[in-house]
Amino acid sequence: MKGNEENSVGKLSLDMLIGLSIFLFAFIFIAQFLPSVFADARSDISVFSEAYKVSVLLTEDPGRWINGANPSEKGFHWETEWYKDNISFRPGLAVVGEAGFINLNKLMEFKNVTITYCLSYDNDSWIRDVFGLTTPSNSYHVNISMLIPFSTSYRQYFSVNDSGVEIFAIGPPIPDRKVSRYERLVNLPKINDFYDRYSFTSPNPMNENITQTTLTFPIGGAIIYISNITQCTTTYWIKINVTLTNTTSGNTSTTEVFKLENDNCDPANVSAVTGYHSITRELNEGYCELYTNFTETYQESPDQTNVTLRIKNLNGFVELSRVGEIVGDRIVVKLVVTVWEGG
Amino acid sequence: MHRMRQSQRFRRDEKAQAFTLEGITAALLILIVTYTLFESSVVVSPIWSEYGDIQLKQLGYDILRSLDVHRTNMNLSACPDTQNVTRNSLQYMLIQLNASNPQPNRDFLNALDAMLDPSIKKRVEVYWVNMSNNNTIESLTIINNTPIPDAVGVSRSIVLYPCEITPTSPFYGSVNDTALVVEVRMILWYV
Repeated sequence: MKGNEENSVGKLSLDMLIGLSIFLFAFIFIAQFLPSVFADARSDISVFSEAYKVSVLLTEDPGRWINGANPSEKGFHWETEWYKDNISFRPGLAVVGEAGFINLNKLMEFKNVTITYCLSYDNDSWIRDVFGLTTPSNSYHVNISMLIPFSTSYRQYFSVNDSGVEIFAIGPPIPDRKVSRYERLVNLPKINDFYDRYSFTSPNPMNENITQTTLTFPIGGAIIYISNITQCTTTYWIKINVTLTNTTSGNTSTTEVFKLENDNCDPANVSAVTGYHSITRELNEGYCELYTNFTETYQESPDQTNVTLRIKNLNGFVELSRVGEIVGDRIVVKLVVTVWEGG
Repeated sequence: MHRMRQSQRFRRDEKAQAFTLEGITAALLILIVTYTLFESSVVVSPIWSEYGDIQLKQLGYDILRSLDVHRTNMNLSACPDTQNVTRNSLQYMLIQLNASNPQPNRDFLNALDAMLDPSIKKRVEVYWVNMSNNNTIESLTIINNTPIPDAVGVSRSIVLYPCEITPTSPFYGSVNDTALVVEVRMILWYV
């Protein structure tokens, strides 16, 4: 009788039912939710690998070609063969045997192939095919750009030649969503088209030699080479000023970004003055500081930037590049491969 | 008497229902908190952080290669024109080191900073073998920052000509008439 009374209540079953429902609900929810938590990281890693792969093939490998009709004909110089009949090729940009050193012919031909196959530098379809970026399960877009070393992931400045043409910018614009970016520092040969040289001599050590040029900032690289001092008993200097102007209002601001000055030829002074000096950082940082001051003072932006070289009693030259940092006989640039998922 | 006991038992059971409600509420709360936690935070797996290390290490190797202005003249008796070694190169940085205060030169530091993102910190050390002292390994720290455990290290070997090693150099006395190989180690980490 007592047992019957307790069985007739049946509340324990209801509790259990509710508890079981919550447990099942939670279990199903977590089972469905957890994989999606890691899906993001998994997809990032997969995209990152593709960016890494493309960057290595471009910067460390010279590429390959083979004649399908005669397989014994093959080699590294795809840039001279790609347009011929029966040729299969995979592009690479490196000089044969020198990873990280870019062959300019390969670079130019890479651009030519893009224009030939895709009609536009914004179209990456042939690059996706040749680097295996289109798979049955995934498809990726790629953008390959050469930037000056001053660039960062949030501040991009393209390497441009003397005519203002971008050295290398292939692929569609980078979208404003999740992308994977892989950076390499590569070396380009220092050809005439990649920098401007301003030579200076001081036949009369008492006179100051002033040269002015209009520049677009930030610059990729800048060096001064001082070969010798004309007269040791006279003061010698090199001073570099940056001037910002708003040509409409006429407002102007000037700052001295670099100075090297002395008045004797003690061996220590001579060795400190003569030779190559890198001044990229001084120019870019001086410009940035002056730009901020200008906009705060005049509440407007400058539209013209002039650089003035003031040289006295020294001989040598200044080299300015909008391609990249000048190091010896080469120019260092950033090659950035950006990959993202897309149809 | 029996009814009284029965009604007492019913009251106890009603209290028990309140506990069940609290349980449901707690379970729901835990679910909401867990969901919010996963949605609002980035899940960083160890594999993912290794990918960041790969990029940093690669950048380090690229920088050392770019600043290594290698010379093709291997005639050690011929002294290269030091004036023509660019000041932002690894070679010049090593040549100009002074044993009393070994500091990298301004041009080298500028080039290094230009190639590294501001969010990356660095430490630079040089190692070499002192052949005049039982081939002991000597070292110098020329950029002295303390790395974090996640830092990565890269290195490159640079050859210095005997004539480039002046009496003020920290390498002076390590070799006589032979070239000296100096290993430049750079340790990088994100801040």
